[in-house]
Amino acid sequence: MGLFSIFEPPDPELVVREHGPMVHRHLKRIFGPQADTDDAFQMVFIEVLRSLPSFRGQAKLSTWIRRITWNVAYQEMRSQYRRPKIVSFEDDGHGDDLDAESEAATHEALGHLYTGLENLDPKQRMAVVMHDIEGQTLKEISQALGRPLQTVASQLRAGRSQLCAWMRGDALVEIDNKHEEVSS
Amino acid sequence: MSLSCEHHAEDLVPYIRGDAATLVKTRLESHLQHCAACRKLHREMAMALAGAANLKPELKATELDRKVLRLSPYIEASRARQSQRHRPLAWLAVGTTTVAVLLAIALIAVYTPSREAVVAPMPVAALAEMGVDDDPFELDVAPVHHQPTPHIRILAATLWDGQIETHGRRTMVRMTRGFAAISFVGGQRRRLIVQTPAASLEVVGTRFLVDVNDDGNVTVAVADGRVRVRNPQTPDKPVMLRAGTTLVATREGTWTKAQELPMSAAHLDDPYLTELHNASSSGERVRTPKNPTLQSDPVMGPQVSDVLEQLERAEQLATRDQPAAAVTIYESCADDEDPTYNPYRDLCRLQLARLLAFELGNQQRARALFELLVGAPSDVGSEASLALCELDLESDPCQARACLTKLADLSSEPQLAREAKSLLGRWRLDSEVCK
Repeated sequence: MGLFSIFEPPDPELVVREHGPMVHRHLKRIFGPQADTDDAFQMVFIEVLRSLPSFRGQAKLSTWIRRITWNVAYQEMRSQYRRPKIVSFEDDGHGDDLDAESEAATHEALGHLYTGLENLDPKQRMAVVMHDIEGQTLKEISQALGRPLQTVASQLRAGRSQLCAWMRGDALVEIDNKHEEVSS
Repeated sequence: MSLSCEHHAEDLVPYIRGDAATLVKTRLESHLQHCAACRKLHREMAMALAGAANLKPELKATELDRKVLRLSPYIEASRARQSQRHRPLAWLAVGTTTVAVLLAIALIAVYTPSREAVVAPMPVAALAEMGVDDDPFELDVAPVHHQPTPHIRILAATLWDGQIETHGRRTMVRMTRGFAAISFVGGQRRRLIVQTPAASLEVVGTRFLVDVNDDGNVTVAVADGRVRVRNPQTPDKPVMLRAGTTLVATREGTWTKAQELPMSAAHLDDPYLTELHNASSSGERVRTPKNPTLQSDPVMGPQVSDVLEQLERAEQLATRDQPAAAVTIYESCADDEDPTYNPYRDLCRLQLARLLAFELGNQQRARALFELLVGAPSDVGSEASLALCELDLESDPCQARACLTKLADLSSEPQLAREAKSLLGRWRLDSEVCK
């Protein structure tokens, strides 16, 4: 390692092969395990490959690619948010057996979480995903997305609040149904 | 459930993450002890957040190979740019050998033929000898308009087989066969790349024609502006095609350039883009209309604006619990036999069918409409297929399951198959429903 290696951008194909799995993982965590992230993956690496020749090693390559991933994900969220949603998820109200430990319950909870996230404003959604799922600090989010810290904090608060309201509504329906079943 | 539940819910995520202050934690725990709804929300939220944070989906090697292959043009372009950049410490070497390098450059400049000279000019008549028609751009079937962004318009004809992808300001057109007349207004870092089997075209702002024959050989004719053409075998040596020139590139890597256009550029006349070109060249800020694809079209514009207004009105009525009034509007829009002047016809039919099925209970008519839409282009066809399964959900969940399972197995339509699988999970249509 020396001065030469600091400024030597790595081979583009190696970059895709080495960091592709990480980008794939982030995108799945951001959009949900069932989401089609092919286009977002392609967009991330188009941006990475375009800027790679001018990458000067100011940050770790993985950090730099992660930031691009978040920004592309945010843009994708915005375009999805503008797109009319023809199919909306409506729970049929049949309660589960509340087996909190089962894999099926986790799968279902994940489904509810990501459906709830889809209904959030993209800015709030990005703040919630980055903070509560990706585990970034407010400062890191603020730097990555170029927004003031206070703005990110209030977007996170508003996003959480709406997400909880969405999930609570769902929970209420299930509990009400259970009460009906018991009384009948 | 009390009003305070809403207040407590705000603290739930910090509590789950262990970030909540002691006071908040105590208050929330005391509330959770006697509120079943909040306990359920807490349990579900904790499970979901933990599940999401622990998601580690694997990217299989074959899948990664496929993604790398898809990115190969960008990888090559990135390599080419890297090789052009100077390394900082290379300047030291440059400094010590300046004189020798300058001499070498001078010698190379004297003895190396120019890049333009590599491709020999040839008259249009010679194209015929190469098996290219006299007028390869003759439109023998009605062209189809594509407008992926306000600044690109593509007239595709002669069994055009292509895909258009837009990524921010960058648009990629992949053509494997057929003819396309392409108009593109550049500026503001907008880029258009046209990929063909024999050449990759990078466009800054121009109007040009591309013809890909069945053998994958490509003819490119530039009407105005410039097009940079790269040979996949030598991507670091692009050739700049100027207005009025034509290039024939074969898959074997042979390139031949003609000095004249083998056709008139009349196919490219497009009032909308001409206006954009003029405004762009005069430095005027170009305002893009809300729906530039159709509303700004001189012929289709008025009709399309009218349909859009109707759709908006119908949506408002439907959300205000007036489905019958919305149905009347959708019906008038859905009745057009010819979709040329109403590209939203299928969407109107879909919305109409949804209202009939799920608001007004007219399943029979809804089913007929959904069946009509199955196979329609864009998302409408997929939505109709899924809605047909949804119709049976209450009356015959076993039938709905069979219907969705069939869609989930469709390998030809992966997006539809994924949606169907997702619905099977959401509606809990497991094998139990058929017992």
